[in-house]
Amino acid sequence: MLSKCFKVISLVLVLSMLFAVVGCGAKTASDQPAQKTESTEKAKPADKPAEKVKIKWAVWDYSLTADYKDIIEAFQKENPDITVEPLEMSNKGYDDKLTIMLAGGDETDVIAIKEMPAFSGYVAKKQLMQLDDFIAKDKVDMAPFNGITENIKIDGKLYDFPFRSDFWMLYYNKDIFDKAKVAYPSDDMTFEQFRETAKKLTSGTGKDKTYGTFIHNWKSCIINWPVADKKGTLIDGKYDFIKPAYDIFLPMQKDDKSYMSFAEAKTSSAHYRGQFESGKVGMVIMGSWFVSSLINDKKDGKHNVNWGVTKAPHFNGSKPGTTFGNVTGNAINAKAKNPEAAWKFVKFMGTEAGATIMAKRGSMPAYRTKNVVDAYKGLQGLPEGMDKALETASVALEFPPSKFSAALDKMLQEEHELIMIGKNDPDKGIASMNKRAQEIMAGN
Amino acid sequence: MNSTIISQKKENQTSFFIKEKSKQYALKAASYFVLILTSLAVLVPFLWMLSASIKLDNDVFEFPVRWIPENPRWENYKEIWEILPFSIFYKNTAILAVTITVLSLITSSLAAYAFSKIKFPGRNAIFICYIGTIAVPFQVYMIPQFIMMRKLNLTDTLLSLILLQSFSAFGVFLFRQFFISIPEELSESARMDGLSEFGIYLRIILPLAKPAIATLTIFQFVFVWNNFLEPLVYLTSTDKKTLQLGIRMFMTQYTADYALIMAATVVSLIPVVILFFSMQRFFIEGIATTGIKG
Amino acid sequence: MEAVKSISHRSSKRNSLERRNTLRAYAFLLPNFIGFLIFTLIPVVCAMLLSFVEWDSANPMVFVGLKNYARILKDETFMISFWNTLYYTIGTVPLTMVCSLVIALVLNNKLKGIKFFRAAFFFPYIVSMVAVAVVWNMIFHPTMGPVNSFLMALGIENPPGWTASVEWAMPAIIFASVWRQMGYFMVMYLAGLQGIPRELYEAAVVDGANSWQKFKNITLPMLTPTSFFVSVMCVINGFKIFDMVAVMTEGGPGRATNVLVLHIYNQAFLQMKFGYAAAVSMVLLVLVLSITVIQFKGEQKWVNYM
Repeated sequence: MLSKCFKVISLVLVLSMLFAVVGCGAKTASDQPAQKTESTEKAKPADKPAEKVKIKWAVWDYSLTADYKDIIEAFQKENPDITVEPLEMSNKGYDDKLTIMLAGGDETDVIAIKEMPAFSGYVAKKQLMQLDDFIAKDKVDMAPFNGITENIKIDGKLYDFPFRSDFWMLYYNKDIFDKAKVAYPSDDMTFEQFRETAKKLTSGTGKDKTYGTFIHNWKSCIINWPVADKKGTLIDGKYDFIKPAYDIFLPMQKDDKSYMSFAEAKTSSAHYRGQFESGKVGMVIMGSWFVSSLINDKKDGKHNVNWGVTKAPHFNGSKPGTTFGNVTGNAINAKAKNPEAAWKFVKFMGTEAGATIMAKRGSMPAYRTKNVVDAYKGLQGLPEGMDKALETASVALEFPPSKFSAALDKMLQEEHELIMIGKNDPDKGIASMNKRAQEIMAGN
Repeated sequence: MNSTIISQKKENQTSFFIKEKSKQYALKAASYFVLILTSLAVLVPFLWMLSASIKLDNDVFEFPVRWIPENPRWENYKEIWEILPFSIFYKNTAILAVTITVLSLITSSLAAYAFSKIKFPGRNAIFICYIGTIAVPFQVYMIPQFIMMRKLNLTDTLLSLILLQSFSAFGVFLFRQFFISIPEELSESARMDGLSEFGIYLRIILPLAKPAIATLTIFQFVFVWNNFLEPLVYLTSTDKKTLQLGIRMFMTQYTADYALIMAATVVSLIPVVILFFSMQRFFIEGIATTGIKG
Repeated sequence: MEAVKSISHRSSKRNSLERRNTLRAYAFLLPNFIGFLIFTLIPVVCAMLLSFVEWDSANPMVFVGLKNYARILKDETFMISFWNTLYYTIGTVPLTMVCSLVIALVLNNKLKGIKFFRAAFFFPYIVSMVAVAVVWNMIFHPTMGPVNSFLMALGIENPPGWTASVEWAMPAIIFASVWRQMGYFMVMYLAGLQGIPRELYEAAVVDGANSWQKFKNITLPMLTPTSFFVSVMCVINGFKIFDMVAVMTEGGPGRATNVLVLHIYNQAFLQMKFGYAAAVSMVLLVLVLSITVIQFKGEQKWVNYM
C-alpha cells in the first residue's frame, strides 16, 4: 500500500510542480505587466482621465479614530478631483495582511506604516516608493519635523512620511499624591527620585492596594530609557548599555514592591489604562497617545481621576525632557495606481493642514509648527503641566529601521521576559541578548 | 410459624429493595451534583464573558473578579450596533456559514462514500493526501493561495472563502470514519434489490449517518463562524467583513474596549448556541441502542 | 458444465464490475476533489516547494537546494519549539481523548437536562479566545489564583508561577487546551456512540455481561473508527498548536512555550524567510503523516477484521 501511496504522491507532486512553475514562479518574477486589476469593480482612472481619481488608503483602526475621517473630508474639500477610500484593517494582524496583499501585487496607493520592523521589511522588498523626489519637487519644509524624518531614513532615503510622533511622559494621579502627602513630581525628576516617590505612594493590601506606578509588560517600558539617553540603539547588537534600566526597575519590583510584578500583571491581564483610570496607581510612564484617551474617557464618564502630566524621569546626568518615542506615517506603494494623487494626500496629512486637525483631536502630530502646537494646547481637558511636558530635550526613536529589526525585537522581548520573571539576572540576560543578536545578524 | 418466617423474609426483602432504591437515588443525586459542579467549572470562562459584557471597560479586568457587576451596563449591547455596522458583519458571516456548511456536507459525504464503500486503485493514497493537507499550517500556504485567488480575481469577495472552505478534507475524513462503521451487509442487500450506488448513498447510508451529519454541521458552522485568519487574509472592504473581523475592530492600537468586545462576542454566538441545541436531537435518537450504563 | 459457465461468466462480470466501481468512485469523489485540488492541494504543494528556495514574498526567488533544511539543524529556536510542540502533543492527546470519551459516555444517558450538560461541555470550544486567555491566566494567577490558593492551602509553600514561569507555562497551556477541546471531541464520540447497533448490547445482556465487559468488548471496539478520527485530529491539532499559545503566552516567558507553528509564523511574517518557514512545515508534515500512516495501518486491520 505504501509504494502505491508514494506513486500517487509523487505524481501529484510532479503535477503541482508544473503548476507551481506556471503559477507562483511567473508571478514572483514580477516582470509581467500588471494583469487583471483588483477585484473591486470600482473606477479605472487610467481609462477616464477626466473623471475623479480614487486613491485607496490602507490603515488600521479607521472606524474608531475620528482624526482620519476629518482629514479625508478636509482633503477632499481641498482636492475635489480626488477621493480617498480607506481600507480599514484591524490593528492586530495589520502587517501580516499587508505582507500578503503586497506579495499578491496589490495596488493600494497609500499605506499607513505602523511599526518600524515591518516597515524595514517592505523597503527591503522594494514595495514602497521613495519620497525624496516628491519632497524636493514640492519644496516641502521639513524643519517642523524636528529631525524625526532623518531617523527613519533607510540608506539615506525617506520612505515613510510621518504624521504622528508620540513620545513618552509621566502621568500622575494627584489624589494619590495628596493622600500620601507627597509633592507632585517635578519636570526634572531622576529615576532614583522616581523610585523613591513610587515607594512612598505604595500602600494598602488586597482590594485597597495602591501601587506607586504601573509597568506595562512591553519591553520598551524599561529598556528604552537608556535608548532615550542615546547610549545605544536596539539594533546595535550590543546591549550592555541597557543595564542601568534594570538596576532601577528590578529592585522596585523585588524590594520596594512599588509596582505590580511582571508575573502578576501578565496573569491578571492588567492594562495601564484600566489601572490608571481606576485610580489604583500613582504614576504611569506612557506615550503621549494616552493624553487623548484620558481626556475622552473622562468626558464619557468612564473615569474620574484627577490627573496631571509632566516630563518623563531621566537618568542622573541627562537633561530633563530626554525621552523616546515612535513615529507613525504614510508610505506610497511602489505599485500605486495613482502615485501623484497619493503623494498629495500623504503630504496633506503629514503637514500643517493634517497636523492641525490631528492636534485638535488630541493626537500628537509629527509636524509641529507653532500653529499646530497651539491647536494642541487649545484642547479641552488638558491637565496642567502639559506645556512643560511638551518641551522635549531629545526624542530618541524607539526602534530604528533595519533589516534585522523584527528578529531583534522578538528576541529582546523574549530575553526581557526572562529577566523580569527572575529566571535570568540582568548580566546573564544581557549576555544572552548579545549572543543571540550576533547569531541573528550573522545568520542572514 | 412458617408463615411468620415467610412474612419476615418478605419484610426483609422489601426493606432491602427500599434500601437499594434509596441507594440508587442517592447515587443519582450525587452524580447530578458532580455533573452540575463540573459543568459550571467548565463554564467559568463563558460566565466571565457574560459578566464582562455588562461591565464598564475599566472594570473588566478587576481582580479578583466581581461576577455580578454593581451597575450592569446593558447599554454595551446597544453601543456595539451603533459604533460598527454589525448587521452587515452578521449577514456576511451567516451567508458564509450556511453556504459553506451545506456545500461541504454534500461534497464531503459524496467523497467519503467513495473512500469507505467503494474499492478503487489509489484509494488510500488519495486519502492520505487529504489528511496531509490538514497537517500543513495555513500560515505556510496562505501566500501561494492568495496569489492564486488574486489571479482568479476573487480576493475581497465572499465567494473566495466559499470556494476555499467548501471542499474540506476535514469533512471527508469525518464522514469516512462514520461510514466505515455502517455494516457492509446493508449496502449488499440494497444492491441485491437493484439500488444504484447513488441510491445506496442517498437512501441507506445518509439516513443512518444522521449523527455524523449533525456533527459536521456543528463543526463546520462553528469553524466558519469563528474563523479569523482566512477572512483576515481575503476580506478587506468593510461591507464584506465577518463578525470575527468586526469584533477585532474594537481592539485598537493602544486601547481595547473589552466590555464591548465581550458584548459583541456574546451577540455573535447566539446562532451557534441555537444550532448546537437544535442539532442535539440527532444524538438522542440512538439513545436506546447504546447506554452502557445497563 | 452449467456451473463452469456460470463461474466464468461471473468472473468477467466481476472485472467489468471493478472497472465500473472505479468510475463510480471517481464520480463520487469528483465534486469534492476538484475543489480540494485547486484550492487546497495545489497551494499546499506550491508552499512545500518553497522549501527549496529563498524568498521574502516579493523579490525573485533564489533556488538554494537543501540549504533551508540544513539551517533547521543549526536553529536553536527550532529545536526549542520542536521539543515544546512534542511536549504539548504528548500532554494533550491522551488526556483529551480520555476526557472526551468519558464525558461522551456519561452524557449519552437519559438524564434530565442532558442538552444543557452537553452544551456546557461544548461551550469552551466556542468561547472567545480572549476570554479563554484572560480567565485561564487568572486561574493561574501566582498569588491570588484559585489553583495556587488551593496548593498553598495544601501546605505547598512555593506554588508554581504557571504562565509566568518557564517550567510551568506549558502544563498550564496543556490544561487549558484539554479543557477547550474535550467538548469538541465529545460531540464526535457522541455521534460514534449512536452508530453502535443496539442488538450487540442486547445479545451481551443475554450472555450476562456486566457494564465493564460491555464497554470493553462492544463500545470500545465499535468506536475504533471514531477513535481513529479523534486521535488523528488530536495529533494534528497538537502539532499545529498556535491559537492557545498565541493568546496565553505568545510563546513566552522567553521561549518556554514557543511552538513550531509560532516559529513558522515568525520566520515567515516577521523575518520574511518564507522558504525556511516552508522547510520547517515540511518537517511538521512528515512527522504528522508518518504518525497518521501508522494509525491508518492499525485501523485497516480493524476494518478487515470487521
